[in-house]
Amino acid sequence: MNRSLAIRQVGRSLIRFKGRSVLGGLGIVVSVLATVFVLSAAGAVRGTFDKFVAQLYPTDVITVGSGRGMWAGGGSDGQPMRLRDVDAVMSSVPGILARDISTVAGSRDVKVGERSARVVVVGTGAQAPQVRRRTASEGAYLDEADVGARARVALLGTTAVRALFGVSSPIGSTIFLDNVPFKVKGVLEPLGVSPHGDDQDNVVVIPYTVVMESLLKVDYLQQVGYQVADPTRMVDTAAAIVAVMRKQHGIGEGRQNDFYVIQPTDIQKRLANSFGTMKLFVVLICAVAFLISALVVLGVMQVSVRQRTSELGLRKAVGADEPQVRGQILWEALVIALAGCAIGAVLAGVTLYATAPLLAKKFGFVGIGISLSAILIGVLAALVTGALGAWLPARRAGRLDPVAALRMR
Amino acid sequence: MIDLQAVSKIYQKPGEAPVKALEGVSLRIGAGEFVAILGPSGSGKSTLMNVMGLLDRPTSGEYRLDGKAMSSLSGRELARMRNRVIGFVFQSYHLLPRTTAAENVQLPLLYSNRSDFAERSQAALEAVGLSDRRSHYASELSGGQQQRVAIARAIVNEPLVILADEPTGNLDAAAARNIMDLFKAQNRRGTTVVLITHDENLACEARRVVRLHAGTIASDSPTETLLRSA
Repeated sequence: MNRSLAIRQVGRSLIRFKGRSVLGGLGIVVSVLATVFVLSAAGAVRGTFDKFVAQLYPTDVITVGSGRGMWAGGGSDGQPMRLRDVDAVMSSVPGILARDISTVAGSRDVKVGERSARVVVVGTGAQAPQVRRRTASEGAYLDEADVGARARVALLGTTAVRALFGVSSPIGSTIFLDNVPFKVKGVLEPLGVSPHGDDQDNVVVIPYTVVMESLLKVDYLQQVGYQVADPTRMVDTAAAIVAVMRKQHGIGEGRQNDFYVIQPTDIQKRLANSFGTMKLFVVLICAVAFLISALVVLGVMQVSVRQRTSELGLRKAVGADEPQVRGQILWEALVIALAGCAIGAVLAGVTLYATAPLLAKKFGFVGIGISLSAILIGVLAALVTGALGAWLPARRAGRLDPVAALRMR
Repeated sequence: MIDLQAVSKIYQKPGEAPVKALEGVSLRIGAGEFVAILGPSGSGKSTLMNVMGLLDRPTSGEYRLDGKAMSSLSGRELARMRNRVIGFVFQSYHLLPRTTAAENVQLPLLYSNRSDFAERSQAALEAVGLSDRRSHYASELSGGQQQRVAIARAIVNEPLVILADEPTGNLDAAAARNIMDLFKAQNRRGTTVVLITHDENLACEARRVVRLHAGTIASDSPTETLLRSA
């Protein structure tokens, strides 16, 4: 077999039958597009969730809340968590750097002069920037004095600022929350949209003491985040917290906790679980796409072999053996598949980069882009598809009876 | 060169009576001969060419080509023999469409290990007087020119035998003359030429005429005796 001639012949043959080559490649292009889009979307959703979860449950924060928690079926037949429980944990569990008490008061009307907006009200303490990794981008965050004195001060998210103040700075102005005046101390760092579609910048943060006393009128806490000094000792620290909490609540041996504890590893496990299921579907979708393009290749090469029967017969007459004729058809299909793959990847890349800003804005997707593994998977799948689709026609071509084939015209 | 011993070829389609295309044909053709196989359609001459050209295996009998028994060869070995020993010329040229004359001529080289394909195809095209047409597509050539390209393709690998099946069947007299002259020139250079035809006049251009009738050899004589008796 003369290699350099053979390569030219395959190229020539693909050019001779342009329409057929384009059609065969088109299926692959579409499959690669679908695969890259689905993989990128999955990656972006994962990235977005990871970022969101890292914000809600940082890797060095143990979350403790009132009741059994949503993953234990809820319920609150015991005592709710109170400030004295938190103080007990802080004073007797070693290795805790900071704590953040957060209390959500739901959506409420906030007014400034003529303007008003529906904003989510959240109560936090002075240590929230350290624990939750969100501080003031302008002005100042709450301090211990604000929390202790139940000061009527607030920080606004950027969406709330836009709604209430437009482009002018809100700092020092007074807003009315349920007709109670609050002085604006600062603007919160923007976070964007959560994976659930909530605007995390449409918030107002005030001291949790004010939320409990004036807005919710309760004496118990919803949730506390404890930042640990050494995340590798997370499990021990969580056990120590549980012990203190059980003692505080007088829970005897063998009885269930009336509070819940969430460690970051729990969340990671849950995320990995859900994304494992998603991954399976992604793989299935891609497999179906490539199966369809294998059928397209099969059809196209079948027609090609039928159209070129006399040519293939001639090739046999001048000395091509069965593997050589079969190889020619296979190589043609592989070149078509690779070309389709390249075109698909470029198209997908262009489309993704063109739409990334829009997706980020609309759905808060981060990390959109083609990964190297997506490209490798695409190329591999395209090659397998090409070979799979072309196998039967190639075998048929190889086995052609040259006498009968030469009679065809 | 070609040695057929009691070769038969029987086509058997399921549910139909068997067709005996060749029946006990024994034929020896020596190196450097120019033989015409003459017969009406259905006489088995195409089957004979397919057997001689290793495109088809005989049902029974022995075929030796260039001293080697062909019945024991594998499909791959037969392909190799077709590539090195035999050059085919067909009535309908069988050139690849949308492909240049030179690339058509290079086709047998694709399946050999020769690396000097450009020089070889050029030399073959020169031998048929078409070196100035090497970049033309088949569709841009006349019938006679297309058949000359096909002859260049047949000789490019320097075969021992040229098998030509009604090579002038689609051509006018002048083009046919030209083709026959090319065969004679190749024969003078030592290549064995087997011409399959139903045309008596054309057959007389050969030096030996084998008449086929109903799958058997009816006569086999040098052309001179034929001409003398006529």
